[in-house]
Amino acid sequence: MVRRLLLLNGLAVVGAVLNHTTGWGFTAMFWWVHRYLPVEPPNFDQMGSAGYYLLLGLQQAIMFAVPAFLFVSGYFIAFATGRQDLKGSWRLIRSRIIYLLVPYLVWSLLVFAADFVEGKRQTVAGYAEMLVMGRTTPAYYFIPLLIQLYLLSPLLVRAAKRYPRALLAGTLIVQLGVRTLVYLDTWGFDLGAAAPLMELTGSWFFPGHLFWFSAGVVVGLNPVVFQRIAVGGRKLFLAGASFLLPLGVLEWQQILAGAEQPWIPIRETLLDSLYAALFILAFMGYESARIPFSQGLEKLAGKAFGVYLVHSPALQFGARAIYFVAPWLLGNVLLLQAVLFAIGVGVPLLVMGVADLNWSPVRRSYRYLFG
Amino acid sequence: MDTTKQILTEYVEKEIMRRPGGVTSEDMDLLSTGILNSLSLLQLISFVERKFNRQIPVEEIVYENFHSVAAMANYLKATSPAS
Repeated sequence: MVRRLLLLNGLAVVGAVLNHTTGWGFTAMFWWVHRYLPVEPPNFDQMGSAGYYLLLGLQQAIMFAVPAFLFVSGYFIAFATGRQDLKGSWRLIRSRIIYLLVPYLVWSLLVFAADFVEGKRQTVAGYAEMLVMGRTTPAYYFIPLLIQLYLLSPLLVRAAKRYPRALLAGTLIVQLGVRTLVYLDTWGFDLGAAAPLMELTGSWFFPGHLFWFSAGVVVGLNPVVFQRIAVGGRKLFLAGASFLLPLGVLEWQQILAGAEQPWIPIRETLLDSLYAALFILAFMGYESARIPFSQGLEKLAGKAFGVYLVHSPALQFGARAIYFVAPWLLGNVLLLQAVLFAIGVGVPLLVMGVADLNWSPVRRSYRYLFG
Repeated sequence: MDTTKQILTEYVEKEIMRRPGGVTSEDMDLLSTGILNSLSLLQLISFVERKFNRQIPVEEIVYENFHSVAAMANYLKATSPAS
């Protein structure tokens, strides 16, 4: 089961990078289209093209990535604190948060510095808000989210020990409630007095992801039961995930059709949540199934946090470099994805590799840079 | 230090801490000191399974067996096929 969890995380790292390369793919398709076609941006004529559905399909396929990361984090917390007293638990949580927060702050400050050089300035309050809500880059919401979940974990672990089913049901209701609010907001429903509830729906805020982490905690305390369920139902889970993959693409088209704008940033929906759960269960259930490049994926999993931190600014820089230097590439969906993926994984691994060299002046600070 | 503990210590220092001599004692709590996170824990267990040719039952992957070099070595010794 352990190696399977490691592989799942390796795939999730790939998924996280692809999530952002496809985001840049849509940017190239709609907002940067003038760089390779004689049209004015934004232009949505490519919506419905083969390239569009390729990107949408990729986005849908990797919807398990963030849930998988949170699931493994919950599993770890249950393992590490499940049998400790509260003082011991907080000692561990504190050290975990330090090794999340320090690298996060370092890379956020580097991005702020780069933005500053380009003339993008914020007030102090603006910078503080970006840090608290993980808005430095589109990917960085995950760190404030994970820190909140770690802070909640003593409560969640206690609940998982005493009332695992109630915890799962309760957190699922909260999470699905948040998803539902997102649908309503996207379709322009007037939420009236409930409008303040929309504050719960930010990616960085824990209610929208509480179930995944809690599920990891419950599984961490009951691994044998989980394994039995995953293995016993694996054919059903695989069939369900396979069915939901194209359905999720269709769902997103329906959501877009009902939205007030031609395009909205992709976000996890109700079907995506179900797909992610079935994917994880199926993946863990087929425990002996060989995955191509599994050794590489396991190694990548171990570097997940570093890849996560560095890939977002690397992609930002890479995509903008392509915009200026090779705009023709923006019009080739497949090739652009391949190049961006190589940048998104290659640059972090290169940076981490150089930092880890014996002569590197930052080698001793490696964990404060990459977790 | 016996061979098992030496192998485990070297792995933790080289692959996880990236610092020779980082494991100051075989009883050092690798979890509460922040040395092991979720993914490095999984990597460590995967290494233990490969290196010592074991399939560790999931119900035995608990804090008591994996929080320090000494705990891991004791667990491996106690569950060794020869014991």
